[in-house]
Amino acid sequence: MNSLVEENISVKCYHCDSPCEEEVITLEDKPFCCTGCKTVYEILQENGLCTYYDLNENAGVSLKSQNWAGKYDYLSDPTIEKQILDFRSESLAKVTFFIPSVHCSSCVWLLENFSKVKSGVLSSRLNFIRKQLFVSYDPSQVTLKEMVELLATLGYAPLINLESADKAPRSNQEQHRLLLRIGVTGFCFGNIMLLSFPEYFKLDLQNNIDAGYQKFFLYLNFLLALPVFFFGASDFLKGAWLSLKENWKGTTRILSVDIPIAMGISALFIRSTYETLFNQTSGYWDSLAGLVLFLLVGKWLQQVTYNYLSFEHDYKSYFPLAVRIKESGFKNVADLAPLDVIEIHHQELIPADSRLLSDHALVDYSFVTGESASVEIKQGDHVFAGGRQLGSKIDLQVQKAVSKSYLTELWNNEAFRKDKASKTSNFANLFSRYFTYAAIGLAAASALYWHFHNPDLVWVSATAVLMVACPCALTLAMPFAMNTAMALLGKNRFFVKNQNVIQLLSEVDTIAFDKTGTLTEGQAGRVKFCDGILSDEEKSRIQAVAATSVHPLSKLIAGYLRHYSSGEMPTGFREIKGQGIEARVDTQFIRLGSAEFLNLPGTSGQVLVEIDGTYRGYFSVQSKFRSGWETVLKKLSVSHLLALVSGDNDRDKKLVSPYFKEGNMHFGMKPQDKLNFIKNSQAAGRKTLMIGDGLNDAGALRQAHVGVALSEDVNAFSPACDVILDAKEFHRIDDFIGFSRIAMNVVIAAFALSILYNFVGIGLAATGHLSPLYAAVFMPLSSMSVVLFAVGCTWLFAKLKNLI
Amino acid sequence: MSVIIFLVIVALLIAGGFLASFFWATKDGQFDDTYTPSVRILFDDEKKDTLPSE
Repeated sequence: MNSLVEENISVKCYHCDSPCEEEVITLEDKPFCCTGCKTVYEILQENGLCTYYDLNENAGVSLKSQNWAGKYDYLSDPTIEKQILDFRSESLAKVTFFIPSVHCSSCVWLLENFSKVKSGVLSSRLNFIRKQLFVSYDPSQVTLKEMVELLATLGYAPLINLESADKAPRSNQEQHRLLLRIGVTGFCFGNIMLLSFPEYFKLDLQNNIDAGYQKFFLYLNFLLALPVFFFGASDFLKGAWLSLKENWKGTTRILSVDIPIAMGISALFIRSTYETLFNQTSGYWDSLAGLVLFLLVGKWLQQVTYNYLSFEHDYKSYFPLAVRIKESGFKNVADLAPLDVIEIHHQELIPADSRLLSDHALVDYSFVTGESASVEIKQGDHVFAGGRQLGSKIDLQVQKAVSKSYLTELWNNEAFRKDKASKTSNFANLFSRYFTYAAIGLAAASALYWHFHNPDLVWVSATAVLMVACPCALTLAMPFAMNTAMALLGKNRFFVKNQNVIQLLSEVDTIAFDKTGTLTEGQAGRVKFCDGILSDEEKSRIQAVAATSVHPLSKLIAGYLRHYSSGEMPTGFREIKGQGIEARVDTQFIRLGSAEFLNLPGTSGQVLVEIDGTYRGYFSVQSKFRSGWETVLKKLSVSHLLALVSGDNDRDKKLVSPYFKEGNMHFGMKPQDKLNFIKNSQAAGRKTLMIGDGLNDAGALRQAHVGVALSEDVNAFSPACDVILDAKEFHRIDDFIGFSRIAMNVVIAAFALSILYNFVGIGLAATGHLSPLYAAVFMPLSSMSVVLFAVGCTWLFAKLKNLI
Repeated sequence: MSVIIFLVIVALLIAGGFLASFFWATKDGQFDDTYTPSVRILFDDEKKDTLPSE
């Protein structure tokens, strides 16, 4: 078999395109890397669905090392099933699956043809962006479990967790309402523009027929403007009213930017209504409709987010939906009560704090605490929720309900309760206080001036000032610039939750890093053999010994030497906990372990090797750091205070110490400690950005000024955060923070420009020169140019920063 | 020339019909997923004939 490996290293699997490393299975001249891939091909061929491979070559999902025997058994439990289904009757059931592995058009094609693979499935429809599959099926012909198992066999395993049972319908209402407003306003705007054209070209009012048309157009415009004001602009009016009320009650001192907007819109509406009904002259209807349309488009842009990414996960996304109760089927994890006895299998998550009933267990808490070594637990000891059982099946007696567990307590912290958005006030809101007072003051001043000089102009100039002072350009600059910045950052795999985050990001002065999984790559350590030479045969024997132990270091060494595995069985295996292992393979007596174990000099992080009583060298196990981590830390340390908060022990301290100040490296931090660390730094007035990856960082990510979750696969689950960053782009994080600052500066420049426009406009208005035609040209033009400026500059700087 | 008044009203009514259809499309959720249909439209129908089950 070994020679085969070498020859076939370049053979790519027909199904999933991964190289066939271990063996090549051939079917109809097509190579497959594993039986899983071959099975998929057979199923597809049987059902005439090989178009799958025509759409995209090697479209499949690699199925290596996947084993789901019994994994979905809980789906046949009627109560669990009911919690997942959207709808169920005798002959029809509907369910929505989240399928993380959806990645190309072949996936869409296959999943939407799912009914051809499985009889009983009535229809299936995929939302590619959200990776959601909507399936209707006949429950009398096919069960939920069968469907999920078949999907898993095909490589599209649906993700089912505690969250799947929360049936909160995704609300599109908000989005729909805004779309409708834009539609109606756009419709009215277009028609008002058309009907205003005669006015622009100066109809001859002496001519009786034209005068009749003029009146007709005028009233029609008035009618068309009604929905614009009462429907399209209603959000702004309501927002202004709410803000006024809050200010009146004294709950807030911030005048929302909606107030000057509502003032401007109302001034336009009242003045135009007056002009139309009493003077029979054209009002500013076109300006009004155009303004509201622009504002709505800005609002729409503000709402655009990456709706396929989820920034709001809590522990429910990590916990399984159901757990096996000893001798009585399955139970929803959320319903677990104290004294329930549960069975946990290899690699399964422990869902609640419990007591161990079996003899012993080995629990991997790395996800919760960041500590990479697993913990051995004896009968009667407590195990905490969030750990993963390694090895054989164990029985546990539940002590606390899931929501009261040690791990989930973190989510009851106040950091999770308050809305983060309240920390920032929209930039435009900061301006609006001055803006509102300035507009009112200027309007009053010009009214006062004309009162003494030409009383006819008092009303005209005062309303005109309010109309022009409407901070349309000001409010548009921010959403347009931020939206561009968001899109550009997203292109570089730095996904921010919403526009506010860019502003928060630009304010950051301290950066706290998690170590395991953030500075280092996942849990995997890098193994190196030093201080000696081993023959292939010896390597094979060491592998055999190491493979017998479940200690993480042994597993790393066994994995490192897996190519030498010969299947020899060691005899007389002995393990001394936390020290080392020894066993006899063939004729050689092999001992692996710490310096203490072998009575030799050495340091931690080394596994010494002794064969037949002779020291042969050691394996050094180091965390594998992300590429470029040194450079990025060096760059960031110039302008930021850096801190390290690690749940792991301090074995990598020497390696990281050049980049962090002595007092800023913290090891052995529990999740709550991390949260407190962030809190303390905030109490000291620092704006801290936290970068982490696991559940143990969840509290800190949430508490931090900006929480960045690093993720190997952005579509997979990451803890609640403000930014999801693709781990591959970790080394560019200083560029992203820098760019957020530039984007904020662009917004400020755009603000300045729009205020300049406002001065010109107010000048025109106060002197009584703002005719409807002037307004119709000037107001959209100023808004447009500010928007173009904001978007253009953001692009330009992104180009300079090499983000495009 | 008063036909213009008639024409403007008719034009508004027709456009109003489209506005109504926009309302329907929005409420029907046609703007919820703007990506998948662009993939879906590229699939050929012809292979269906060779399917054993259809």
